[in-house]
Amino acid sequence: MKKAQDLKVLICDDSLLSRKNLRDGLRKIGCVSINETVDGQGAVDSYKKDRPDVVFLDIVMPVMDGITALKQIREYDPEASVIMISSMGTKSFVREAVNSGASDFLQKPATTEQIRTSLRNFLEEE
Amino acid sequence: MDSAVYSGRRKALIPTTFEELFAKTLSESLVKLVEKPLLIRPPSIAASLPDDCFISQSILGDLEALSAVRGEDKVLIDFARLYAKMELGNDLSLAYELAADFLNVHNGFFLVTLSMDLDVESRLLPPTFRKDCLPLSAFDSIFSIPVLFKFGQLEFFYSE
Repeated sequence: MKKAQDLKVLICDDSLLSRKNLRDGLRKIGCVSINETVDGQGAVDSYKKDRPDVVFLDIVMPVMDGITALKQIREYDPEASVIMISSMGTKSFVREAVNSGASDFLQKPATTEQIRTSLRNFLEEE
Repeated sequence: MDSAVYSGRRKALIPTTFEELFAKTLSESLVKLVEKPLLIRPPSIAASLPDDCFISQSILGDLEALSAVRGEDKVLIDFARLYAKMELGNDLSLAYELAADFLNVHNGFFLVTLSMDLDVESRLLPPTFRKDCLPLSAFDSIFSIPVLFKFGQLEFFYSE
């Protein structure tokens, strides 16, 4: 468990607006260490390089989709904490994400409170 | 079908086809994420996609379909500004990107409704910005859904 300002977060989303909204929400919560990538391959590479505490990962992306990236990150680090944030909150995708090791699944657009709740397992109570 | 709208004072219509469900979900997405339109016309058959319609997104799976949106540059910029709640100036490429982002989020709501209510499981491809990417030969019908806002009109398309 960490304080929000000590949490290292990686955002992976090809949508400029989704990255901005998520970044703004994380900053409201108190997170300051936020890195961003725009496709699944970037997320895998950035995870191996920086070992963030938690990854927010989109599903529909060019180059490499989020489910493939999730599997590769979890294969590299079985303890990796990955929260999927996607427009595709269908039963089959939520099931596949959870079965592939996702900690949580947020339907876009996520509110700051939903982001805060998804981080409850990583943040100290303040 | 009555030419009533999917929003406004008239009694809500119950969708019975995928294009009607798409239009109903579109109405809800616009109210939630942009602003309440003045008018949304029910889907009507279109002969083809207009030449200037190139913001699109494909749906694959149990339901295979194509969604798209077109509008005058100024209207797209105003739409994107309201959706993103940020100033764009005259940055048309950013407006296109944000309009595609809206299409993606709306299509997500549509797919979640299909999944939860009808057990229809589909997925989205990333939005594209080139008309020659549209696999129109695969679709039997193209439906036009004109949406009138205070700042102008956009036209959404749904094909399956």
